[in-house]
Amino acid sequence: MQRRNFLKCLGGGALAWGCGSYLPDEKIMEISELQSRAGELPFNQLMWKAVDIFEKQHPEIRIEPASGGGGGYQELMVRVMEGNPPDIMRFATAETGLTYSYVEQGHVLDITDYLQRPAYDEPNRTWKDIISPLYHNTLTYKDRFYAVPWFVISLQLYCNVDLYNKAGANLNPLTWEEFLDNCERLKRIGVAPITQDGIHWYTTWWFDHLAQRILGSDMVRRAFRDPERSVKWTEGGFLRAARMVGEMLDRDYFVEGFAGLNHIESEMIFWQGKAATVLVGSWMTSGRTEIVGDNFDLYAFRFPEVEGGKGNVRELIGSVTTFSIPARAKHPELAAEFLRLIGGRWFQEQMVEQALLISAYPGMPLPDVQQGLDLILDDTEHFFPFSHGLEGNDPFLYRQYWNEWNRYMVAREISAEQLVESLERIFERYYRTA
Amino acid sequence: MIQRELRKLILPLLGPALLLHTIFFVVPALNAFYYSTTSWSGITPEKEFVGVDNFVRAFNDHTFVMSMENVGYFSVLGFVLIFPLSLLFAVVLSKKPPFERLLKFVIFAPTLLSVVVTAVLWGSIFNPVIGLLNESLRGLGLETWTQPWLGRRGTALPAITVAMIWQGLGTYVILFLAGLQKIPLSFYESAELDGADAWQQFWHVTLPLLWDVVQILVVLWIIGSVQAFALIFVITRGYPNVAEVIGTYLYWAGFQGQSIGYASAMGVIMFFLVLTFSLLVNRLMRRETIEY
Amino acid sequence: MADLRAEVKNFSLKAVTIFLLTFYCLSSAVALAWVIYTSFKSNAEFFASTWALPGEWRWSNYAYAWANAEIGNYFFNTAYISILATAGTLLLAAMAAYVLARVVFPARQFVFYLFLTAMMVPAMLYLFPLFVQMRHMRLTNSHLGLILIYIAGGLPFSIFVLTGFFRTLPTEMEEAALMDGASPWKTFWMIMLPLAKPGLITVSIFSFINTWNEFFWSLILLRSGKLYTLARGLQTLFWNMSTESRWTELFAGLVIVMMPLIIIFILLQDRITEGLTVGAIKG
Repeated sequence: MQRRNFLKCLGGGALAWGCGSYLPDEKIMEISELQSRAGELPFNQLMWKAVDIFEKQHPEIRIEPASGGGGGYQELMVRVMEGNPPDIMRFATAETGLTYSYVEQGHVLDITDYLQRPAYDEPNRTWKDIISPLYHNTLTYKDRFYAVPWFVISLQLYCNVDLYNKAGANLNPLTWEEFLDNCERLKRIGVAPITQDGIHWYTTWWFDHLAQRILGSDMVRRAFRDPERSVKWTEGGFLRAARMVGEMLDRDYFVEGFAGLNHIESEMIFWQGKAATVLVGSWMTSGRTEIVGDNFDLYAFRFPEVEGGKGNVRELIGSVTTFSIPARAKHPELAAEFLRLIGGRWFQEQMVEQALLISAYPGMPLPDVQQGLDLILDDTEHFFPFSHGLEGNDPFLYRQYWNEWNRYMVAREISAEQLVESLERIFERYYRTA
Repeated sequence: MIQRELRKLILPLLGPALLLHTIFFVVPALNAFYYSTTSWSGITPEKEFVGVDNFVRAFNDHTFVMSMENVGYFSVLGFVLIFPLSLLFAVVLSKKPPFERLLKFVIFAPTLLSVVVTAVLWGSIFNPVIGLLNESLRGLGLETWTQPWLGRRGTALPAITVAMIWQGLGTYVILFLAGLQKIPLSFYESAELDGADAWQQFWHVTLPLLWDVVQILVVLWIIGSVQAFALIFVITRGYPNVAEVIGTYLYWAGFQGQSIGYASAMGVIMFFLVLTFSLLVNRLMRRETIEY
Repeated sequence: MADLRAEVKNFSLKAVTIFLLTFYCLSSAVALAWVIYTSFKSNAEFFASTWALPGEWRWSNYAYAWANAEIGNYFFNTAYISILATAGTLLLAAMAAYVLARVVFPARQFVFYLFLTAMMVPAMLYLFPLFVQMRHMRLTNSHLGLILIYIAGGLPFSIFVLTGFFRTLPTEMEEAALMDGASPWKTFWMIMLPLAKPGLITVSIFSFINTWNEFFWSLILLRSGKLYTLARGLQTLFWNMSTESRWTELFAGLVIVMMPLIIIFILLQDRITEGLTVGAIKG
């Protein structure tokens, strides 16, 4: 009897303890992109500096990373589903900008009014004024603001200057032919021309660019997003773009075994000098100061134009990663204040300098390491998101799209003709039955 | 009269378990059928009744079809490899081999470890850059045999099957061992006297008497492989990939694709798959139980 | 002639068996050894050569895994969750199994099969409804919720085994006790339950191992890092570490996670296999 009672008490106590560990603490504000204080990434360290300043200004609140720190996006969405979101998080994917479906479902706070407040360290201008208008379309929905910028991403080609010089390759290929010529030269000196992540969706970026260069971004957007199929994948330009990708594969321009590489591994190959070119976003250098160091000569050049193509080379695939405040955040007012704090010049400058990220606030310098990027960005007329927002807004369709591309580009199971035909079939069926 | 006394126990003894079971299993399981007929996103409260639309959508969804194909692949290939292997090992163990303790350890240890451990171990082995497999091939001078194992469907599926077998072998060996130990030695002795060799003994004595065990294990394997989730999820880092199975796609659809209705439909399909194949197996493998 | 053929068949059978066994054991051993000695290297060493033995034996990887990667914390979480869940399953299953085995009442078969069918139903089927339910009950992201799910999940199998067990026990003892005027409640706790010890041991071994290793529900339910269990923590470590290229720390974490069960297994190998086999036979 004694033993049983004892065990019952023990069990009851433990269950109560387990119960208690759930109750959220009201005086805590949670930020999703914050990792633990020990996290070594420069941006994280910078964020903690901002947190310390903010906590001094607002002693009634404590700030903590959300969800175990740097938790997967999925986890955050689950918390939104539970009605228990953090106070600051992203409602966007890195490549597609603000995902409108979340806004439409009422999960994101409209912060237009907060943006009328003065900028953090420029009292003469409002917060809204100091954000470059180039990025407004990725922060707004129906003319209301739902996000503020974190950093800018743009997709371009990066090259290893030393290897290019050694091979006699052109650092600024303006046409596709020149680009292919570069690859040949690199092959001749025994270097893999291009490194590539083969496991994730990065493989389709080549097609994204080529299609845009050949047909113009409007047609590409309609092929991705128009349910009426005003532009079909079987359109000649897409077949040509797919064939061009296939040509690169046939000529072994991609590093061997890329099919099994994730993006970190494929970038490591670039940093180690085993491959000379990579098509990737400007985030590639962030947090990699120890690898990039002083010895690596990096140069960014724009994706070349294609002969006879209708695309505007001044259009860039890119986006702004953003911060938003969930509609059901516990401390929206304080969250807005924190975001205003990190919108200040002091933060943005340090972000550029230490974290090597690109600021969305004009007048900010570019990170030194990103040579050539200033020429690209200065000349850019328009940003559009990767896959024109398909990934964020129609994830099921996007997966099927990516899967077909994987079959063509990585598994090499189907031909370019079969690819465009099956893509059109998939899209048509999806939009018809959705 | 005794029964009358005992009946007083039903509520206090059976009650708690039954209550827990109802709340955490029966109710959600029934709800699943309900959800599968709605278009609920899981985030917004609107639940619109759509009938069998979700099911039609599933079969038209390339990714879902691929996930079913992958499940079929793992089930069949895994079965074909694991059954003979585990039966063989069980037979060996039942005959008190040399190094018995070591063998038992190597065979049973993987089963004792979490699926996550297996996934991390084999995920690391198959890593194309620093993984044990490719590095060994390079070391042996077989550079050309190195592959991006988990990158292409053709190599990823067999690779994951290997990990599955490594993990699952222990359970099957134990169950076979238990079944083998039930067979009286006298059967073998008389078979030997009749001039049967090892192979014939196995075929004509062991196998028929193990038939029941085999049947149970086939059903177990089906249940396990259709549900396969953790191993593949961890190895592929949760990203969309070519080794997608119904479980991982369902998870993605519900939590990232924000379609709980659709995901529930996939769950219902999974349930019917298990049910159908189990019944099929029972039918095909039905025989008179041999009493001994 | 027939003898020779039979002999060749026997021999080739033996050869194949030995080959398979050796291959299997060797590859397992090599893989594990690789993990273990890599966990003592530095990352630079590891990238330079996968095969080489470590230059110096760095224990700092283990410190990193235990502290920074919080494996120590996960260890304690997993331990207390497993113990509580196993105790709970044992208790509830034993009680229910006794009733199902011994007490005759109209819905008896139905209830028994109600428990049994749960073994055949994939967890995926009721994943989302149960998750939504947990949300409503405010049990997400809590150890209590996880423990309850583990208990509920362990019931079908445990009840199955224990019912079979109780059925094999002789009825005389019950009858004698009841005749003597003992209450059925006391009879159960004092007499029948102790008799079921072998079955209870089997069930607790299964239950403990399963909850210790469980991954799926801790993935779904636990959102805060400090609540994670070992399996969940290892997965997070794997996903984070390999993108940060900290393989050696990851392997250190892997070894820490593997060690407890392996050590227990080595020490108690005979008892465990015996317990499992007994359970299997009864099942």
